[in-house]
Order: sequence, then C-alpha cells, then structure tokens
Amino acid sequence: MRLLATLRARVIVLAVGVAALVIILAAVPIAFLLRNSAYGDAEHHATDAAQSTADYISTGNANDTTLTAYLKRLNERGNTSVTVVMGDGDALGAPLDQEVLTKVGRDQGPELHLDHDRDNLGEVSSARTIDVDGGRVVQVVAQNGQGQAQVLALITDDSVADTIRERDLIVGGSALVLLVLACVAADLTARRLVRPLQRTADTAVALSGGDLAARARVEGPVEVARVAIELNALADRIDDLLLQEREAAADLSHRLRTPLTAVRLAVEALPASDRSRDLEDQVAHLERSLTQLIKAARRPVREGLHPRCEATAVVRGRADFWTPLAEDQDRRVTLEVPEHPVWVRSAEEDLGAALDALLENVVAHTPEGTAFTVRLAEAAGGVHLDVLDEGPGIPVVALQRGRSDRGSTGLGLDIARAAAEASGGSLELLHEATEHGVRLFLRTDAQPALINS
Amino acid sequence: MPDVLLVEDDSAIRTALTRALTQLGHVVTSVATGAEAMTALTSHDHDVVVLDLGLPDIDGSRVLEVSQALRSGPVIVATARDDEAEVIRLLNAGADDYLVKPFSAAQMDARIRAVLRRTRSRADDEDQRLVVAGLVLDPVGRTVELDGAPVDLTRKEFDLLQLLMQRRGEVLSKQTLLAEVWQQPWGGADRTVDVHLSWLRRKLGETAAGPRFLVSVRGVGVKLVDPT
Repeated sequence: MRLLATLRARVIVLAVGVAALVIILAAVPIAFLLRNSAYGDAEHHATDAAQSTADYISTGNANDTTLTAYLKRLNERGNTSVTVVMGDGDALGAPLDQEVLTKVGRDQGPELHLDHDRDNLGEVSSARTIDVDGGRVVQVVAQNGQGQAQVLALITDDSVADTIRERDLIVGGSALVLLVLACVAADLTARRLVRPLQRTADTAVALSGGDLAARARVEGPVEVARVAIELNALADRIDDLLLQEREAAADLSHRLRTPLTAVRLAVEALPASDRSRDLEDQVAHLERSLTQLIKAARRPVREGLHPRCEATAVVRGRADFWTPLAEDQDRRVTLEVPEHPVWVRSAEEDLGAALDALLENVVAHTPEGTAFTVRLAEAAGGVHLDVLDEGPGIPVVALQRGRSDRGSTGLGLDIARAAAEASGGSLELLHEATEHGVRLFLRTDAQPALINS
Repeated sequence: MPDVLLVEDDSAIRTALTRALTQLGHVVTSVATGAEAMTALTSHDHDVVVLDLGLPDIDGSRVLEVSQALRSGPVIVATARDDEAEVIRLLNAGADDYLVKPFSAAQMDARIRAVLRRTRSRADDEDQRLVVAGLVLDPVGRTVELDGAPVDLTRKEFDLLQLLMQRRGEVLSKQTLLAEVWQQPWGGADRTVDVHLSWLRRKLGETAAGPRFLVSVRGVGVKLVDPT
C-alpha cells in the first residue's frame, strides 16, 4: 500500500488503469476483426491463385508437365498451396491430404460459367470455399478440351494463425506504447500537480520545525494555490500570536519582577533575625518560581512550535558536566543510555535543565560518597529518564508542586516535572532495591516524515 | 567612595536601594525620571550609573545613549527583561553590565564594584595579566597558562578564575561568585558554582582532596592561594 501512498503514484495508477481498461474492452472486438481479416486475406490470396491456375488450364495449352512446373513456380512464389485434380483423378502441384480430396470430391464442385465470349478458352467456375479439417479450401473448376479439372487452394489454420499472431503482436505493441504514453503523461501531470503541493508541504514542515519566516509559493492549480494562501495566512497569524506572547511575557516579567525587587530590598533592610531570614528564604523561593513561570510563559517564543532534541546526547552531556563534581565528592556515577539516537518532544534546554535539577538534587541532599545512576531507557511511546541514588529517597509529599524535596525549595522537581509534562509525559518517584529517585517519562518525537514525490 | 547615579522610577526600589547602597559605602544620587537623569549626567560626573530602562517619560535607552555621548561613567542596566536578545541589545547599545530584576542590594554592590574594577584596570597602562605562581591569566586575550602550558577554559570557568585571581587569598562565598560571575538574580544555585569549581580544579590539575590553587573553606566559600 506504500506504493500508493503518494498522490503522484495514485494519479499514475489511475491513468494507466483507465488506459488498460480501455485497451481490454477494445481487445475482444479487435481480436475478432483481426482473425476475420486474416482469414479474408488468406482466402482472397488463395482464390487469386486458384483462379489464375484455372485460367491457365482453361487455355488448353497445359499438359501435366507444364502444369506441374506452373504450380511449382506459383506455390513457391506466392507461398500458396495449390493443387490441381485432373479429370482422371491425378493430383498435380502441392500434395493434399486424402481426407480433403475426398471431401472436395463429393460433388462436382461449383457450377461452370458458360461464357459467351469468342476467346476459345475453356470455361471457369466461380470460387467456392469449403471448410475442411485444419483449414479451408478454395475450389475452382476449369474446363478445356481435354475435360474438367478442379483447382484447390488450401488455406491452413496454422498459416492463418501465424498471420493473426503477427498482427496481434503489432496491436499488442501499440497497446503497450499507449500504456507507456499514458504513464508518462500521467507522471508529467502528477508532477505538475504535486510539485507545488510538495513545496507547500515543505513550508508547513519548516513552520512546524520553528522556521516562522517560511512562506509557501502561491502556484499550481487553483485548489493548491489556495492551500498555499491559507497556509501563509496561518503563518502570519502564528507570527502575530507569538509577538503577542512575547509582549505578554515581557509585560509579565516587568509587572512581577519590579515589585518583587522592592519586596526583596525591603526584606533585606529588615534587622537581622530568624524572621527576616525566613522572609528572605521565602522571597528567594518566590523569585525562583517567578523565573520558572516567566520561562514557561516564554516557552513557545523560545522553542518554536516543534521543540525536540536528541535525548542521548543531552543526557551524556549533562552527566559529563556533573562528573568532575561527583569525582571530587567520591561519588560513583553510572550512566546507561541507548547507543542509538532517541528524539524526544522536549527542547534541549528544558531537558538539560530538568536533568541538572535532578542531579543537583542528588548532590545537594545525599552525603558525599553516595553513588548515583542516570539511566535513559526506551519505553512504550517514549523514554524513561531515571536519576537514582543510594540515599534515603524523596518523600511523596515532595511531589506536590512547590513543596520541599528533601528540605530544599522543591523547585528542582517542579523544573523536571515541567519539562516532562511539556513533552506530554510525567514525573514519578522510583524505588528500586537499593536505589531511590525520580523517573521522568518523556514522549518520543513521532513527527512523520513526508514522502517526497 | 564610589559616586553612584541611580535612575529608577519605582519609589520603593529607589528608596530601598539608595539606603542599602549607602550603607555599603556608596554615595548615591537617585532620580526618578529620564529628564532628571539627563540633567544629573550633564551637571556632574558619576563613577557609575545604575539605570532602569522602564522610565515614565523617556525610554531608558535614550538615557544610555546620552551617557555614552557624554562619556560619563560605566552604566549598569537594571532590567526586568532577561531574554537574550534584550541583553545583547543593551550591551551593544553601550551598557557595561546588566542585572536582571529582582536583585539584592549585595548583588548590585558586587556588580558596581566589578564594573569599576574593570574600567579602572582598563585605564591602567600597566600589565593587566594576573599571575599567581605558575598560573597566568590574560584578561584581554582571555588566555590562561599553567606552568607555561595553555589551559582551555569555558567562558564561566575563565570568569570564575579571573575573579578568584583578582581577589587572591580572599574567601569568596558562593553567593558572591554567583552574583559576580553568573547572571543569577537569585541565590540557591550553589551546585552551579560547585560543579564549575570542580571543572576548574580538574583543568588546573588538582582535586578537592588535593588542592593546589583552589582551597575550599567548608561552610564559607573558596579562595585562590599561591601554592608556593
């Protein structure tokens, strides 16, 4: 079915199919006509040979020797099979099967025409065709002063079949040429139809990939041109919406950050006390949450419309980044990632930030020397990104947004969860035999590849 | 005492920041509008200008242009926007540094001091290279050599090492390092500093257990020392 997946293939198949149907429908009457025509031609040819022989006999000048020589020349030159059965029963010329002779000899043959001319030639009958086993025989009776002779010209089915085969081959070849021409014409038409569609589709893919400047050329048939026009209008609309989002994010940033600066400076100005330190912590948490909020609001602007990244490279990169610190802290790092590329529906920055947050969580909340594992494994519809350590584990309450994960602000899990959920996945706590940690489920990128025509 | 011109339309921020910076040893002149800022720039030389872009009368970028034209002191832009395009635009427009809101008074103080150090060292004709034993850092060429061999550092690692070498022997807290090296408007990302320090140690051929230049002071911070 993949053969018919493209419009071009469908147009070609349709055109060739219609042409083939027309040829098949025309084939039966054409074959019938070819057969009749072949027999007609053979009969006409045999009749001419028989009649010319009869005319020769009717001159009365032919004896057995000259007639035999005549028939030999005639049969060789005309590729005919003419036999003359003399009045005494002798058969001259091409040998003829006895059964045919018997069947032909059952009557006197066609009636002689009494000509009333003054040419002194014998009479010659008109030609008669008789069906015999394996073909037909054209029979002409000639008379001269020595008696009557029957001239028999044999038309074998085999010789006619050869002619029919030759003509069938010519007609079949013509049909084949017609099919090829139909295929070529359909291909040309399909290409002209598909090319603008393909360009429009390429534009749609470019837009989906984040190239918001991409626009489709308005070309091709009216319907295709209209698709391009509408796609361009949609792209303009996306531009407008992103611009609005960008402005909204900037406005949000300004509206929230400016008053928060005043709050922070005011809190810092308070006399040092447990209460003021608690307030500072709360303000710091608020700031981090605000930064994440603004970042999330900016996500479409930052990532384009189709965020995706190669997860194994990101995971390896971030694990490498944290390795020196792990080594300084005597932590054994186990990294497990597939050998082949795995594309996920997440921006590289988001996935990196999520993994950084989880690794930072491990480093911050487990004693130095605690080993940890980073594992990327394929799962149904996505991948599991596990960060496990041999520490005490994360309490379930930490999964509530903004709640503490092992005593910190809880923002690390929020960042990781936001990355997972942005890809259509999720975050869950994981408890294995000796290790505990977090599992991110990230959806793999299943963007279908367009088939190029 | 550095003379700071603070241009900020939000009265709460202006008042609090003026008070805090004054307590930190700066002489602060604060104004609330672009027009007042231009008047202050033309009437008096300031060591550094802290400029909020969202002013009620004139766009802060205009004030930045005037400051450039008058060749007044370095400008630190205090902005609520942290998108990369905006930051690049500000730096290209002539800002010497930027700080994304919300920020603390300590961060602003650190940034002011860093900018002043930078501009003053530019003015000095003497060799700007920082040398600690076999470790040589060239801030202009942005190269580092250890015992004559080049050391390949990332931008953050270079900035971190430069700060530590500039303040050799002084224990710098992770908060200070975050404020000066990273454009972090908030604290709490200690591990970012830790992991960069680990990379720096590795590239300088040492470990946390076997320090040479970089010595951690548990619970306080890190300092760069002369190992000889």
